[in-house]
Amino acid sequence: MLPGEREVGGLRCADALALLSEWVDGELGEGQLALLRAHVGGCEVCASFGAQFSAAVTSLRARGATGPPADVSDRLRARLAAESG
Amino acid sequence: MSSGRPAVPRTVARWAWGAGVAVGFGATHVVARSDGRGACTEAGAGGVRVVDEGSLLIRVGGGDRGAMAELVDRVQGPLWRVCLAWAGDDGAAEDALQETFIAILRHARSFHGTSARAWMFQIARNAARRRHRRRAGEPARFEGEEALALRAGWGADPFELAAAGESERVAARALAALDDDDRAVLTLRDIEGLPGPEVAAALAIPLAVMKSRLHRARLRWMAAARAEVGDVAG
Repeated sequence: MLPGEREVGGLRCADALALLSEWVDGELGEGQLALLRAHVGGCEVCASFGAQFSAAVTSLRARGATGPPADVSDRLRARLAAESG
Repeated sequence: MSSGRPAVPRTVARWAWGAGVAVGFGATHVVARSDGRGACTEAGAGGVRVVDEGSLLIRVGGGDRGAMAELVDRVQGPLWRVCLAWAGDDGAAEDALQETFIAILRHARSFHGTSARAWMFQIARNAARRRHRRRAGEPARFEGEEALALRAGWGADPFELAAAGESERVAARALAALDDDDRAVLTLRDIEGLPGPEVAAALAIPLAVMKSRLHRARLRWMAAARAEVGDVAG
């Protein structure tokens, strides 16, 4: 079964998939959001994948909190101290 | 930000375009801004502080070592992530990071744009791309949407990234496995949290193109992470 072959709630899975990025970014209009919810409410495959997609983007966003390792940072400061020495 | 967006850690610095703000910053600085451009905001327990990186650069250009130390504290994280994204491995990223800060030190005096952060990102990106070590492997090829969705796990059993230590490595390797365009858009939009229009401007592409690239890049990252987990599981 391919995403283009299946339709639930007036939307093909492929179309629901195409909305996922705007959904996680909070950019869907009300109409599209309603359509997506109707689809996901009746389609286990897209409900599961939607959750995975959301988790993946959350994972990527969490990487924005990681800085350089301590030794990298130490060597950077040492190098800068030498440069401005 | 809109509702429906997955939660992000409060300590993540967010790049924000805002109206003019005057704030007290610690006990030693008062930063008065006539516009909000070029500022990095951090949401913390005490509310929002605005740090003017453009002002820091001016002071760095004037030889102020304290300003340079403060700048390193402020931006080594984001610049490290940019270097890692474009250089592809830790060693090359570290070299690029050092080169980036040295270039900032040397050229701060000539910064005159509106966005200090974008200027520094550009230096970092150029330094990292110069040091990118080509990996043997399949070149990125066009892939139909359905094929990509299947590779990303649509229709398959959900998979869990392994315990914390492994998941960080899987995530990093999946990112490193992407082609430059995919890695660029994910780094700027998702990892660094730049708003969509800024990412589009940084990549010199229309917003609609950025959005469709972002979507495909997210799916490709999921596919790469699944492949990594598959490899780990043997």
